[in-house]
Amino acid sequence: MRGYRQILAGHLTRLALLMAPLMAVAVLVMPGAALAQLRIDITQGTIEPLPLAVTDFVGSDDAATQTGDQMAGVIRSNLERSGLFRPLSEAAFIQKITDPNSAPRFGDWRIIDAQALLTGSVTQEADGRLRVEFRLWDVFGEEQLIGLQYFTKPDNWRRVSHIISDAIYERLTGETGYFDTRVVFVAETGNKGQRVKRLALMDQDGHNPRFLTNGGALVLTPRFSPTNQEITYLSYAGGSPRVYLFNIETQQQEVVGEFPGMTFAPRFSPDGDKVIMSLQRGGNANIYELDLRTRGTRRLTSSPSIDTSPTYGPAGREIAFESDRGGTQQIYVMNSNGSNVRRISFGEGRYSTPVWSPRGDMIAFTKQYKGRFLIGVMRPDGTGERILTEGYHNEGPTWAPNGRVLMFFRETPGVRGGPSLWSVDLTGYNERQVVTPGFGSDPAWSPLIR
Amino acid sequence: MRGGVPLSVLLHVAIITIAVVGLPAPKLEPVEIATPIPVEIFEIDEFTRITRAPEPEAEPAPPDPEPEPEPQEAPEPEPQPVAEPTPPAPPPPPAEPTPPPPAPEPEPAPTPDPEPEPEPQETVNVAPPQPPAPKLRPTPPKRPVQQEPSFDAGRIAALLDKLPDERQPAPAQPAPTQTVPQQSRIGAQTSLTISELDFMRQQISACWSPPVGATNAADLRVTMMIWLNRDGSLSRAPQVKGSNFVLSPYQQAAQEAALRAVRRCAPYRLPVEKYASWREIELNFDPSQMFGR
Repeated sequence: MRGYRQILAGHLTRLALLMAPLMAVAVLVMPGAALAQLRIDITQGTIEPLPLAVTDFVGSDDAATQTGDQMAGVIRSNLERSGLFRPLSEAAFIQKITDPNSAPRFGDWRIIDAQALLTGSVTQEADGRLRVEFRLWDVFGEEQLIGLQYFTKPDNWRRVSHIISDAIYERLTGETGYFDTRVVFVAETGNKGQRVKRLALMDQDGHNPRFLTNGGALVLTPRFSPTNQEITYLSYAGGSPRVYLFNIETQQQEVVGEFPGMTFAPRFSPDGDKVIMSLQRGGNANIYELDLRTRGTRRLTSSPSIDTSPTYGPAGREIAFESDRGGTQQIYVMNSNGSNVRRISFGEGRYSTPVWSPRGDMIAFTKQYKGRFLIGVMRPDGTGERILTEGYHNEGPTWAPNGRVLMFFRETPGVRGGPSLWSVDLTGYNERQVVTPGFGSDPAWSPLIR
Repeated sequence: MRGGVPLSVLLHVAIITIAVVGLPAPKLEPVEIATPIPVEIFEIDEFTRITRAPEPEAEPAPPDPEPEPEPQEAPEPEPQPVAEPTPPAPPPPPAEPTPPPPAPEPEPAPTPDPEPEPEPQETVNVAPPQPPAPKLRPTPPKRPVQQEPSFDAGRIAALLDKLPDERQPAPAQPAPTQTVPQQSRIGAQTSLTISELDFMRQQISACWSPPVGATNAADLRVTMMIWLNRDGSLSRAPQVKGSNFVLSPYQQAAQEAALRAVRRCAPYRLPVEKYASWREIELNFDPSQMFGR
C-alpha cells in the first residue's frame, strides 16, 4: 500500500506541477474566448445639414459690436448657402456669449441640438486695425476644434468673414472652402436682341459687384486663371473675335497670341502658365496651346471637324474637349501633346462644354437631349454619368475651386426672359440662384483669393 | 512498480478527463451562447421584418369572426396597461347585436390600420426597452375612441356597454400570457435579438450624417469602441480605432462625424437585462452603401 501511496503522492505532485502552467494558460485564454464582442455595422446614415450655432462676435466698442454682428451674419449665410450646414436661429440660444475666450456652457448648446458652436470677438486696435478672433467648438465632444485670429482694415470685414467661413467649412467637412472667392460673369442689360454685355466681377455671395469692361464690345466666355487674379475671355473689340487676357489687379488687357483667324473658347492650364483655345480656319476648328511666358504656340489637334471647348485635367497631362468628328458633338479626352484621342461620352444626346473639376475626379458638361439642356458630371473615363439639373436652357458649368459646387447659367424663355446664374452641389442637391444685378451669364469661378 | 504502469495510465486518463471535461465546463457555456448569436445577426439581419411577422399570426384567425376577435387582438399586444382606459372601446359585444350597421365600419378602417402599421415598426421597441411602451399607448386609445361613436350610432343601450367592460379584462389578460412566452423565448439568451440590434442600429443611423462631398466618401470607414452605462449613456469617451495615425482632413472629418453621431444619440435604449452583452460595443461606420459605388 505504501508503494501505491508513494506513487500516488508522486503523481499528485507531478500533477500539481504539470497543471499549474496549464491552469495559468486556461485562465489567460478562456476569458478571451468567453468575451463575446458585440459589433454593429452602421451602413446607413442620415444626410442632413449639420446644425450649428453662430453667435454674434463680441465687440470692444459699439462700432466693433456692429461689425461683429454683420460678420456673424455673413458667416451664417455662407454656411447656410453651402447646403451642408444649418445655422440655428439666434432666438433659440440660451447662453449669451460675453467672453468668447472662455469655454461655453456646452449643455446649453446641446439642448438646442447645436453640434458646433462659433464664438468670436472683434477688437478695435490702437493702430486703427481690427483684431478678429474666433473659436469653433465641438458641442458634444466639449472641445475646441479650431481658433484663429486675424488683423485687418475695418472695411475688410466682409473678406475676413469669408476666410473664417472657409476655416469652419474645412475643419468640419475636410474639404477646402470656397467662400473667399469671386465670380466673373457676363452682365447683360438692355432688351433681348440688343443686349449690352459687359464683364463683371463679384464676391461669390453676390456682394461687391463691379464692371470690368465698358460694354463697347461684345464679350463672351470669361475664364479665371486657377493661380492668380487673371481672366481670359473672348472679345470682339478688334472687329473680329479674339482671345484676350485681363489682369484684375492692374486692369491691363492684351490679346493672346497672333493667330491668322478667329480664336475662341480659351481656358487656363492648372499652373496658369498656358492658355488653350480653338482657332478657326475655314470650316473647321482645331485646338492650340499658347505658352504665356514664351508666347510659343502648339497645335494639338488636326481634324477636318470642329474641336473646341478644351479643358485641362488637374495635372495638366490630359485635355478634354468637344468635337463633332464622330458626326455629333461628343466629349473626347487626349494627352496634353495631342496623342491618344478617345471618346468618353456615349449617352444619348449631344455633349458639349466639358469642364474638368479642379480636384480631377469629374468632368462637368452640358448635354442636349430631346430639346432640353442638362448640366451633368461624369468621371474622366466616361463612367458614372449623373445629371445635376435640367431645363429649357442650362449652360456653361464652372467649378468652385474645391470641386464641390458648380455654377452655371440658365436662360428663361419669352421676351422678358433672360439668363441668370445658379449654383448646384455636386450631389445634385441644393440648387439655388446666385443674385446678380441684372441678367448674368457665363460665370467663371475664381480660385481662393489667398 | 508492478502496478505502477496501469496506475500511471489510470491517473493520466483521469487527469486528461478532468482537464477536458471538468475545468472548462463552466466557461464553455458562455462561449456556446456567444457563438450562435453572430449567426443569428448576420443571417437574418435583412429579414428582420419578416421574422417579426409571426407575432401577427394570431391575427389571421380573427378574420372568421370579424367584429369580435379584431378589437380583442388590437388591444392584446399593444396596450396591456391601456386596456383599462379603453374598456368602452371594446364594442365587440355590442357589435353582435347591431351587426349590420356598425360591422362594416370597424372592418375596413380600424382593424387593418392598427394591425400592420404599428407592429412591424414598434415591435422593435417592444422587445428591448420598456420606454417605447408609452408610444404605443397613445395610438390605441384614439382608435377605440373612434369605435365608441360607431356604438352610439348603433343606438345600443348603455347597459350593453357595461357588459363589455367586464368582458374586456378577459381579452386583456391573454396579452400578458403572450408576452411571457416571448420573453422566455428571448430570455434564454443573454445577447441582443436581431430586432434589438436593428433598433440600436436605427438609433445611431438617425444621428449619423457622414461627409458626402469627399472624392473618396465611400471609403471613409470609421471603427470605434463605445462603452455604455446601464441607462444607455456613454460611460467613457468613445475610442476611434486608428485615431493615432496621421489623418487626412477627410478622415478626420469622417471620424468626427461618427463621434458626433454616437454622442448626440446617447443615451441609447437597450434591454437592461442584457446589459452584459452591450456594455461594450464595437461600431463600424461604413458609408459605402450610401454612395452606391
